[in-house]
Amino acid sequence: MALVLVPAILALSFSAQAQDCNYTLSGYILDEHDQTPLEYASIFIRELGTGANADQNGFYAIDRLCAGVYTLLIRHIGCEPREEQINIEGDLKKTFVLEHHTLELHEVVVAGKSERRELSLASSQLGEDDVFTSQGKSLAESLKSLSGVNSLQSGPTISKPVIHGLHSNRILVVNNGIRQEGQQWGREHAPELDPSAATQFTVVKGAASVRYGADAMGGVILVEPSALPSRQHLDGRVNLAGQSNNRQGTVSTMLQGGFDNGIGWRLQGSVKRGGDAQSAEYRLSNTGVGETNFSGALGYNKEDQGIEIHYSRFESDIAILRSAHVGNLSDLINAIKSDVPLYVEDFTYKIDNPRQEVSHDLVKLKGRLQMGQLGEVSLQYGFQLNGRREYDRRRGSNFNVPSISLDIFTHTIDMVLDQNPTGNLMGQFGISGIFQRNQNNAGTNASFLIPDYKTWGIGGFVTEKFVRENWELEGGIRYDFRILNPLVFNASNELLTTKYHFNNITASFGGIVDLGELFELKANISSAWRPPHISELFSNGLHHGAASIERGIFYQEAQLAENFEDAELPSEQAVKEVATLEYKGGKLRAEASVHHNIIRNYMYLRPNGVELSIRGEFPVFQYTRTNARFMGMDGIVNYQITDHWSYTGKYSLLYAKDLSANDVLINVPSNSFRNEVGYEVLNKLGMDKLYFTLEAQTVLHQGRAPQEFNDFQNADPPATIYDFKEAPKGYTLLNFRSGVEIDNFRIGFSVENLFNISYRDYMNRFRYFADDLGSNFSIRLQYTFKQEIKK
Amino acid sequence: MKNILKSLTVSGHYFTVLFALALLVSCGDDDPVAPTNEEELITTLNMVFTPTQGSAVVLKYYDEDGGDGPLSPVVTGGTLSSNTAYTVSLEILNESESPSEDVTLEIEEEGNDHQFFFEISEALNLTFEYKDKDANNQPIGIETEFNTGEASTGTIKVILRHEPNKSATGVSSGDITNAGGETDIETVPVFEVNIED
Repeated sequence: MALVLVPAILALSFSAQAQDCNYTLSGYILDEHDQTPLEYASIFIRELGTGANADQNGFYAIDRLCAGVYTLLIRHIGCEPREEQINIEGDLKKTFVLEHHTLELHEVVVAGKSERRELSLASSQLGEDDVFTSQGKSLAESLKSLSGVNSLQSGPTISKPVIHGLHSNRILVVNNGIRQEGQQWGREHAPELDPSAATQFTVVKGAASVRYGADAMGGVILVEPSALPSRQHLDGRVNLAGQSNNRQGTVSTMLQGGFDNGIGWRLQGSVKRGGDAQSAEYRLSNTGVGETNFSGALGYNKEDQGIEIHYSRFESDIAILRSAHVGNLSDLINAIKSDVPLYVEDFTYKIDNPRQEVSHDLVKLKGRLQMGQLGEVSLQYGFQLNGRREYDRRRGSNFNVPSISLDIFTHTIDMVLDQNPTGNLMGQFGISGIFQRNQNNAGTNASFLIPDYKTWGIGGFVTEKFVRENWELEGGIRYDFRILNPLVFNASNELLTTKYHFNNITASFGGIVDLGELFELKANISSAWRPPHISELFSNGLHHGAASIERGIFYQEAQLAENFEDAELPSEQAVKEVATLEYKGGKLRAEASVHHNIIRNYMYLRPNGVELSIRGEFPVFQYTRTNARFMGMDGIVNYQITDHWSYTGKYSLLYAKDLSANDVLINVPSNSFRNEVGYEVLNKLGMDKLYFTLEAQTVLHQGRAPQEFNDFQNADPPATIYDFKEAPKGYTLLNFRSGVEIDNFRIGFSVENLFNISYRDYMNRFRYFADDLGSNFSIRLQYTFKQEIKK
Repeated sequence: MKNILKSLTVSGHYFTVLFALALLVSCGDDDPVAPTNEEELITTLNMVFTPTQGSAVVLKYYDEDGGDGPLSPVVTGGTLSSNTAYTVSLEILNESESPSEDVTLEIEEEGNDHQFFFEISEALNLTFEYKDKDANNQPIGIETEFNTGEASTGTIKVILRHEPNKSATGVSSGDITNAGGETDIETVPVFEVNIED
């Protein structure tokens, strides 16, 4: 049969070529994920050396073609180029789809329209395999495998993401389109969200304040669930994960469905329970964790309009390493000087004091409407309630009374116009508002760590993008106005009613250039700002459990000013430049990204002597302003050695400096590398996919850490920045990951710290007290099902 | 259903609905809670030395704002007689409240979880012995006996540990080295003590 066909086709094509050279190839070039047109995508015929560009609707046409077989190269900025062979025998209409790429994105499942963002900023995404492997882990732990991203930890259960050396209030987490507003100021306050509700994690490594508002000094973390179904179908998944180190089990499930009338729904939930973790040599007593999360969504989505309601609840109970809880400076020094933690007990699931109970509720309402020629308008309202209770080791009946009990209410409203592309221009306008109230609950029988406050904010932005075939430019500007009304009582219990005003303009400008077929260059300069947080302004007292007295900037400035009203309360301002060069040639793909960030009024805690009290000595830390510089480089290399074997290297270099004091900065991640060799085979032995990876994770010694000082008995603490303990040695861990996919099942097995190495990490505060985690074996099982309902 | 939704969306009314909802749930204006006094505040430690004959000597450590505040403590030392046995009892008070709260009772109730330690400078000729027991037959240190030797000058530091490991080596005889736990009281500056003939 084939033998007959081949000559027939040959004959046909020859005859066609002989007859006519007036055929047209036309069609659309669309985004694979949401089928939106890829404006100005290019289509190139290798054999002829000519091609065409698509218009703003993604439509292209190449005419006067002869019959024959051609190789097409279809490209669009920010997308994976695609090569395809076609056979022209007459006029042909053909639609091509392209996939957005980033190196760390191998096969991210993106369903529906995701947040449009500044593409000239460097960003990384967690691939599907990584998302699967991070089942049971916290957000920060999941993101740690991305280059340029670290975590700031307080033991194994509390982890905060760090982007290019910045963390806490300098990182903005956008959960399901809403700015996450919790108690991010605390070093031991992790993001209050359930990563298992999301399918896509993107880290934007630039000062992306224009689109998202204040606080994005170091970057933005976008946590997005997939779009709600809007067609007739039903699907779901169940995930089970177990890990050996703290004997943790996690179950998470999701079920979603839709109808052809555009209505879609989703229910999702997860439960996690873990006990005391284990270092290489001993139990880390009281490090258990429990989490219960739930979310539900209901929506109506059509091409030109839609409305959605979403509710989610996050609830966690976190134990804090018992040995890390100290009463005063002598306890701290004793704990630091002891090689082994002072409390090591047998394994238990019990979560004892000190511990935290944290909950976060989010209600989101979103509507969108296509407004004719103007574009699509979307309106979004979010309500968040974050509750935090911290239990200490207190005397008597107060043991079961939280010593910190905070509720923070946040209302956000965003209205965005996604302008229809006109010519080569496409843009976005938006306004947003925020109202927030922080409240200390009565009955803690303890003094407040941070005061109550109210804050109001309003902002507006515009971004425009100019797109051409081989380059694009984008720029944006934003104005924000904020009012902060701290509800602080003075010494004679009178309420101070001063309102502080902050306002700022932020801007971003960047571009992408296609440098031939192998290279792409992205560059961006952007600014971000952050009003001082209430804790930086008004902390005044002992940080229980941490044995330090913390004083806010307010008290320093107020002393300088005549009275409280005149106190100057400055905002932090950052200007960050990022440039990324990507190379994609055959087997080798590489990406190098350099970044440089100057922060004015960088606020941090600086040692300021020692104070005496009946509880003994406490070092005093004063929030201070300085100017700081963060610069570094992230690199990724991916080399396909054979069809199945590949090498991936990820490198993060970072340098930080206190420019005013000409000194080092504290808690800056050191340089680190990940080198991995992977094997992957598809469709063999009845398996859809089999893969395994061996990874060497190296974290170097932080040579630019503050000097060690802890001899308080014999000397006065230095005026320069110091740390109670010098930075720990560098370390290398071996990690193994593997997975199998068969039909609807996915099974994963992984080992972290394969050789059970004892180590301490500079970015983990509990390095003062105990070693980091020993080996951890985990197993994961995922079952997915999908039902297309036929009518 | 479809018709209702359609009419809503087309007229754009649901934006209004969204706004209305947003306004509805926003800001109830509750008054902030006035700062609470630290319930576990300790302001005062009195160390009362009572000889078999003669009048008592009191070493007093007073910190008006307790552990959290910026005010410096006021420490009063004392003079003891040489070669004398003293019955010593500790008095822990919260004098920020009126009448003042006797925290000693609370510590005694939770005797299992508390122990006082006394660090005596080498130059000072002074020794001590615990005279009280908790439910596990381990010392607490509210009641002690101090014996002075020859005339000398030195210091005493009193430390109260919460949840110490009383069964660790040396702890029950007053050596703090292996005690662990968290410090609730540490009298720095230390008491200046003279022993005179």
